[in-house]
Amino acid sequence: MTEHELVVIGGGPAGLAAALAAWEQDVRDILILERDNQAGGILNQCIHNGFGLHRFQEELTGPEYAGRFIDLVKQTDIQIRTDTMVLDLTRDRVLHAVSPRQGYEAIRAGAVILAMGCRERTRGAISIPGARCSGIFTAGAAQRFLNMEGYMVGKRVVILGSGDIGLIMARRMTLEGAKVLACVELMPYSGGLTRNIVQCLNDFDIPLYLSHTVTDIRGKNRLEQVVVSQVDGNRSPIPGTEMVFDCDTLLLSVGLLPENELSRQAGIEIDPRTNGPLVWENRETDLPGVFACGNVLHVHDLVDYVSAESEQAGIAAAAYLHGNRPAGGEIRLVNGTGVSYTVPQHFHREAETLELFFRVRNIYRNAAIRVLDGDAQIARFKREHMAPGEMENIKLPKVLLDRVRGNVLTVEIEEAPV
Amino acid sequence: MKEIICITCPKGCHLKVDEETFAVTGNACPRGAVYGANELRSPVRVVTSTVIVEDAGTSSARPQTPDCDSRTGNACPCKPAGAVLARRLPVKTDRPIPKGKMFEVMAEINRVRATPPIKVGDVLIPHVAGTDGNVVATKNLP
Repeated sequence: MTEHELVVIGGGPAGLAAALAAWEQDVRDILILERDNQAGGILNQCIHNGFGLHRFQEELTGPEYAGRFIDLVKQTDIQIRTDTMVLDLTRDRVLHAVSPRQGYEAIRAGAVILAMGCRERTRGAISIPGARCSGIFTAGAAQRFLNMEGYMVGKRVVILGSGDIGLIMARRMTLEGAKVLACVELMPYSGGLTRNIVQCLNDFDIPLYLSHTVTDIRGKNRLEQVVVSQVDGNRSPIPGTEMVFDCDTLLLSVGLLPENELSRQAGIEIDPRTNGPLVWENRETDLPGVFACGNVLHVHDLVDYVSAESEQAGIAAAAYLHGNRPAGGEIRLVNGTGVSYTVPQHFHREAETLELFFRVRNIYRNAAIRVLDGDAQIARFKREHMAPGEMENIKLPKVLLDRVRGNVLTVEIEEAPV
Repeated sequence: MKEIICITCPKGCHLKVDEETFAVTGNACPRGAVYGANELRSPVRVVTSTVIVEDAGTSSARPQTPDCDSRTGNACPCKPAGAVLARRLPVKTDRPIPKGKMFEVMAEINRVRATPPIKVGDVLIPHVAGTDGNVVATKNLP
């Protein structure tokens, strides 16, 4: 068994930023384990631009954003081991991993950062009826085929789900010569960023069908047709509204799930609302010395936020290794009206400025975010526009936190009077 | 007044642009004013795509010996030690180009090949499709 001070599971944007932050806090023995053949994670296939506006004040493509972090890591003694799959994580922080070069190995870690990212939901996860023909891909799988392997997955395409990856792929497939017939969204609003609706659908006159879903898939060997129906307020298909599209490809962009098999094996408590570990403000899980950041913790819209969050986890892991523990009792965060989750889910009373990330349940205009200590409002933030597809964040300064009397803070959305 | 959504950043401000004076309201930052006016005058976009990497071959065409396959990146005669055999090089236009020229730019991108070594920012196509934009690499290929 080998030993390392800090082991980071995953060499994507979260893992790279976390490792760098820990390095800057004087942790000198850091190992990143990456299952792909290169670092950079999903950014390697996200060749479009729009990354890094917050972080670098410029628009970078995915590979460029990843490249900046990889270059910084190269200037340190942080080790990145690629082609290495972690199979198990134990409660005493022993990792079991396999790789073609090393075979099986066990690694004991002083601290662990979980940065495994997320996976796409598949056809099985949303139970689309119909034939089991070829030509049905998750949007991210198609993106990898096209952008990294160089395979075009189809010529006439329907996209189910208006998440960002689906929208990005609508444009990408169109630019490469495919005909994208429609983007179909179950909800009455898009799950993607507004700018992607504009740049990826409107620019190419691709229709977006809100409150619609795929109700049948037809095809003998390869996909031949998909049937799209309108849905009612309960998301049930309305008979008589069927539209038939002749197509050879269906791309699914129907949500992402944090990939927490390792966290579950280690018995780490998972928040059913985020599908990620339940964490403190320093991104420490309920298993001491194990931290989580990036999309394994909750699905982010912007990699810039992933980097920022991961740095917090890296700094916290370094503090843990140096024997510094957060002080103060627990204050829990409760989701009030209109809030579907918060990260972190709880924090220490002595915390410095608390930055809260959360998602709202609906589209709101001219609404406000309220933070309540019992019945007393301690903060209120106005927002002109909020949507479930756009992660919100608020900062609660220490002076405010010092005034909190109870053990519970509620975050809720106050709708504008009609 | 034309209503458009600003795409300069993920915030997506709802802009109102005057069709005659190109005055913009509803923007949260100065970039929105520039975007709003340009979007009506002459809309521009950055195009991103990939370029075929010369000699990368296909995974099935690569020699398959225990020490050589694309998954491990191990040293072997067909590639430098530690190198990852990428089959596509991601590229972008280094500035936004007129929206109407996107498909022309794509056609030119699909005609070129990239030969490693390549560094981020290397120009693959200068003045693509007669614009003032260049197609540049967005990834290092050793």
